Amino acid sequence: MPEASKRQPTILSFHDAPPEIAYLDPAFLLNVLVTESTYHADCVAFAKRLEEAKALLALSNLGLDEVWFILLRLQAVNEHGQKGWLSFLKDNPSKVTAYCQELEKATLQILEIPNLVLIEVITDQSLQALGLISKCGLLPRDAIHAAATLDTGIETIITTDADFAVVPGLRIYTCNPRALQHDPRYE
Amino acid sequence: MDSEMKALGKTTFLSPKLKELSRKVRIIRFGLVREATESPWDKLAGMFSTSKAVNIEEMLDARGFEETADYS
Repeated sequence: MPEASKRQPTILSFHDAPPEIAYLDPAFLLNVLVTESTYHADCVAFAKRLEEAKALLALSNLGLDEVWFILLRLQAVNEHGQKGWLSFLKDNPSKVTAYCQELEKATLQILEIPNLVLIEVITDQSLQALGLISKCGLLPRDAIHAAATLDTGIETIITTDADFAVVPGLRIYTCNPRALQHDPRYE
Repeated sequence: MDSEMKALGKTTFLSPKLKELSRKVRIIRFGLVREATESPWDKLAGMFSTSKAVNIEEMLDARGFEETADYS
C-alpha cells in the first residue's frame, strides 16, 4: 500500500474546489442517475462543477457492475415490488434481458462523460482490500474501491457513502453529512 | 498510450495525469467524445425514476448480504 495510506483521511465537501483527478464511487453516479435518490440534487450540482473544472474521472469495471445491478434492482422493484425482487429477476431472465436496454442507455451516457476513463481493478488491489477490511471494518466492495483509489495514486474518491471516511490516506469528496462530521470544519 | 491520448483529444492539461495513471492501471476505455449540444451529465441526471425515495448507499452495502433474506 502506498505511503499515503499512513495519513489521516481528508474530508472535502461538494462546495470545495473540485479535484483535478478522482476515482468515482458508483454511489455518486447512481445518485445522479436516480431522481429519488437521497443526494440526487447535490450530486447533479457537483457533476456540473466537475465538468467545468475538466476533472479527470476514473470509473472502475467493478463500479459499472454496481451501477448495472442497482438499475436492474430498481426496475424489478418498480414492476414486481420490494419483496422478492431478486427471486423475480432470477426466475425471469427475459425480464433481465428487457431491463438491459436501460442499462445500455445509461452506460452509453456514462461513457460520454467528459474526461472519464474506465480502469480495471487488478488482483493485487483486491488483495490489498483485505487489509482495509481488517483495519477499517469496510465491507468488501468498498474496500476494493478504496484500495484501487490508493494503489493507483489517485488518492481522491468522490462518493456519497460515509463508510470511506475512516480510510487513512483517502481524500474524500462527499455531501453525506455523516462523512462530513469527520471534517473539523463541519463539527 | 499516444493513440489513446489522441482519442481523448488534444487536451494537454490531462495528458500528464493520464500517463501517470496508466503506469498503475490498465485503462480500458476513454470517454466517448461526441459533438453534443447538451452536457452528458445533464442527460445522465434523472435518467431513472422510482415510485418512492431510495437510499443508494444502503442498497449497495446490502448487495450480496440480502440474497439470503430474499430467499428465506
